[in-house]
Amino acid sequence: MRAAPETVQVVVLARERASALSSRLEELGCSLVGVAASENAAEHAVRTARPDAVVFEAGTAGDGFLERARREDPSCAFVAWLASASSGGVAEAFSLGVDEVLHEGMGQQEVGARIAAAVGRSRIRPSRPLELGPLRIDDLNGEAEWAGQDLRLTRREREVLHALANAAGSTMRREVLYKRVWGYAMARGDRSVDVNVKRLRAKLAKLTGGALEIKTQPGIGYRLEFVGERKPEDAVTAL
Amino acid sequence: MRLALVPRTTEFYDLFTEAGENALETAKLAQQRFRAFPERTVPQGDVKQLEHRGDELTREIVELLNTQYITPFDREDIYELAKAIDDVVDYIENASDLLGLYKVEAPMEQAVEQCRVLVEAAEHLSNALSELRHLRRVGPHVVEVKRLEDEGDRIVRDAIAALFEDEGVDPRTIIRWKDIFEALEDAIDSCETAADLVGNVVVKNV
Repeated sequence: MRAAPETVQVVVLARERASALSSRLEELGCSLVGVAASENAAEHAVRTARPDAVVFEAGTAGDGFLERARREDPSCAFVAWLASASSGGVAEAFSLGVDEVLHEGMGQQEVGARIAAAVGRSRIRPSRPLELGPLRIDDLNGEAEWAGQDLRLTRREREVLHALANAAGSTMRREVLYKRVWGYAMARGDRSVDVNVKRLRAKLAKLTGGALEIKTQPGIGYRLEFVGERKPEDAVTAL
Repeated sequence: MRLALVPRTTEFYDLFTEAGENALETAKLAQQRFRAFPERTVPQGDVKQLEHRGDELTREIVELLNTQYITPFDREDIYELAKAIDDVVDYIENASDLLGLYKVEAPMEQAVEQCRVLVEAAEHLSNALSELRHLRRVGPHVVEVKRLEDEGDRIVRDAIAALFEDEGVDPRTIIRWKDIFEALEDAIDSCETAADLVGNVVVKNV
């Protein structure tokens, strides 16, 4: 399924925080979840922030990085960024197991299209269950639980909850949430997100005792909040 | 069939009043259904029942027409008006039915807005029909239905434009909502058609 660059959440693995790579991705409109300076930080980001893609500078990721990071989230796309195009460099990157290879010489349109295509291909891969404290969501098996208790969500409700949980406590715009769950752009006036959030809220209030709430940011979107004592130990934090 | 020579004009007016009220009731029920969907607080079966009642009323008007020698206004106008009110109910029922048929997940804001206009138009049509026996009071309601039809036109144009603003919108969403927007627009248009007929009756008989 094709994704628009502006709806893609990206983690950058680069030697420097303010890299040319980060700037180009931001210019494309990608949502930069964070810039990791090491493989460990990038793996942590994949585990907690659940980005759509990790774009890493050539040479920042060694043997085993992709394997470990993929174990964290099989649906994340891994994209190598080369300073210059060379057949050898491209072939080497693909031999590491990346989903796509980009280089500085590519135009913005091509970079955006290739990232979007890589994310689309990766989404087809089943993701492993998401666990945030008492909350566990397993899309593959269609399960959503709170402290081991079935939340009895519909598929859409579960996917909306999953997307909000992935957003690491930050507000997701309705349009981005729609794109993430439905896979298409949201038409103006479409209330599908609001209707599903409304139903989800009612179920969460009943089955989590108010410990998990979906907050509204008027005119913008929604964010998931853990309320009270039952915050996840492995809370998602900014990188 | 024998034609009755004793005029039963009151019965025509009563039946038109009832048909107008039935159209208004159908519009209100469809509005509730659109607002609440996908919650099934208003099942389509309830809307369908009102549509059946509309069919019965149309049949009663036509039967009365066929048995009366003297009618309160032109026979053709009575027949056309009865059919036009029946169309209003049919179009509303059809639009409401599409929600389930197309497996809509949630209503579009523009469709809810169309329903508001539809209910207002049906209300003025109903008032015009109930005032048919006092011909002079009908005019303002007919004018108001025309204004609402113009408002409905603006809403449907904006609604369809919204479906095509972004190339990434799911084609199924475009297909289902374009149909539903147009079905609601047909219902609003049919109110205007019926109101126009009421207006013509007034012009001919004042």
